[in-house]
Amino acid sequence: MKRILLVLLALMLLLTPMLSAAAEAVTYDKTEYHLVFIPKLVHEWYEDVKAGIDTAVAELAQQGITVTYSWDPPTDAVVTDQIAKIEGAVATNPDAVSIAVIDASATNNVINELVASGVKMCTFDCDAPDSNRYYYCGHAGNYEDGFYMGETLAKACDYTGEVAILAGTLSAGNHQDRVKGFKAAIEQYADMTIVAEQADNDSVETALDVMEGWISAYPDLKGVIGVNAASPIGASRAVTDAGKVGKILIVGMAENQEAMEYVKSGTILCTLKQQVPTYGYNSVFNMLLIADGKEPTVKVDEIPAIYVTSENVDQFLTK
Amino acid sequence: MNCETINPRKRFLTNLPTAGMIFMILVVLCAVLGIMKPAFVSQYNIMSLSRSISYKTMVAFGQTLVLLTGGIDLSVAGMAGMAGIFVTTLMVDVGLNPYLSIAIVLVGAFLGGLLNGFFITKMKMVPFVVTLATGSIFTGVIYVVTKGSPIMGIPESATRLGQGVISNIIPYPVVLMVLLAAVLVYMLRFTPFGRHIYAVGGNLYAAEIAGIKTAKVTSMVYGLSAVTAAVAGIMITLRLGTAQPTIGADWVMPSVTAACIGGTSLSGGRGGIIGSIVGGVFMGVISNAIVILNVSPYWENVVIGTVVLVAIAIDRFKAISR
Repeated sequence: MKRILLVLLALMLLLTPMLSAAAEAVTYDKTEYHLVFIPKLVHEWYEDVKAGIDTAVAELAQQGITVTYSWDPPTDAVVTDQIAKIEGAVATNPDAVSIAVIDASATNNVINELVASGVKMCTFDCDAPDSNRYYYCGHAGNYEDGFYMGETLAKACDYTGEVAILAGTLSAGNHQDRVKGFKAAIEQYADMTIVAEQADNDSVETALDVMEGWISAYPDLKGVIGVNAASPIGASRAVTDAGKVGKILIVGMAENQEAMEYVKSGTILCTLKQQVPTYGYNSVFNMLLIADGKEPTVKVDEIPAIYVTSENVDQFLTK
Repeated sequence: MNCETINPRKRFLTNLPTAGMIFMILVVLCAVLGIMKPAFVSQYNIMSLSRSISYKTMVAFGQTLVLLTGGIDLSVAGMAGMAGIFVTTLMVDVGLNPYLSIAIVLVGAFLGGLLNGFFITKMKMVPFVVTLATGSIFTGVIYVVTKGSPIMGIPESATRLGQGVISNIIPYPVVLMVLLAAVLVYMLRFTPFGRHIYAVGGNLYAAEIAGIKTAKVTSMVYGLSAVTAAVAGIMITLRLGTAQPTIGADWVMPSVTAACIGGTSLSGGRGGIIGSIVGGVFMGVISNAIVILNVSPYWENVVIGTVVLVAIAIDRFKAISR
């Protein structure tokens, strides 16, 4: 068995440089490209995507390929605003367009029409899997993430007690999937009860207010999930102020520095860190391939997320 | 003869001001909630609920002044968020003393409000459009400065202002709200400027004929509205301990609603600060009740809208039957 493992390891070591060399061997038809990226909204989270794009652009510049790009998020995550942005961007005749889809059901037709008219449409972060887009790069395992967080919280609560859900924005598909995953995990345990579920509309302030209400209404509350970036922060503030750190455990999807500090202090039990710069980095190289009429390296580029706990949080703290 | 036939209880109800009527509904609502969920009247809930109410109610104070003149201020949300961001930037990035930072931002907010007043009075533009535009600019500035990221590192000496609590039940922001209310009530009732605000909203042309400097009064009112929004934005920022770009983003409608259900007329000239406190508390209690009673999140907005509509309808019914 050991011998087989050693052979596999040796093969991997041999293949890795070959794969890298293959990646480097990709040639592009033009020396200048213009790409368009349309995130869901103006948000710090997407700045990391932009950092990944900048890295890829810099690497391509060293190869003599000039890539310019437009970064044009709507101020708020309003699907009609995003569609207007897409249509405006296409008018500039870009080589490829990638969008973080706010609402796939509303955007599928737009993507399909543009693809049919020859526009190279891609998606990142949030996908429109039923559309004809050429390429997607992101982390689509929202149900699995919710389930994992449910399991983590249940284990920390000894599989008993009351928990609650800060459900994010009710119309957001990724939030809905995380809630479903969390519920499926908790419902496995007969001694666990989901006592409350409220929307927080991606607002730290609303999450704080809701959490304070729950602290009053459910004195035996043992855990909370926040299914977006804002709600674990608001919940952490409320739990800290109420002196309930360690008594009410928080899991969620917040990944900024404030969240990492709450993980470090023990207020947040577990959060999820997506490898966001990779979304931008991989998108650039694949969008160039697609612009040249070639196939992307992979049509659905799933980038795994990292679960952050007190054990590995130090590597994500930037102080 | 008719007066003699009116039931005294009916006469009491019909003569009751709107704020009084809403207050009575509020008392009944709180009593029912207290019986249904004793947690509603717990010390912790009263403390956290009163603090939560204080921010939007302070914004409603400024909105009330503007509504009294017959205008509306849609820029309060942007102003509140911008104030929170700038005060944090001054403290964290520039290293200024927290109190000096707050003073600078409040002066800046007042000037921002005067800008609204300038466009409305000198350029004769519609308040709705002007404040919608400036609100958009203020929100845009937030994103230009923060790029969507929260600003951390507010010194503890400053966060104490937002997080402090007297005797474990009265948060500092509530004390500030009461002080602000006292000053504004005094201003409206006992100063010429306060009477001029009512006069401008009651009948602009009559006020001009009477020699009131209506443009100055209107501009000052928008300046004060910006200041109250900024105070609320700063206090919630200090409460959270970080400057979030989304702070106050949804404060416009609650500020108008609190003023309206407190009896302030959208056409100007009628209403007051006490009514806005009642309206703000009423809105806050409904939101808290939804959480405590675990109303389905899908029904939340329906419940809030219905309760507000019923409360206002009761008041209108009273006015019609008067």
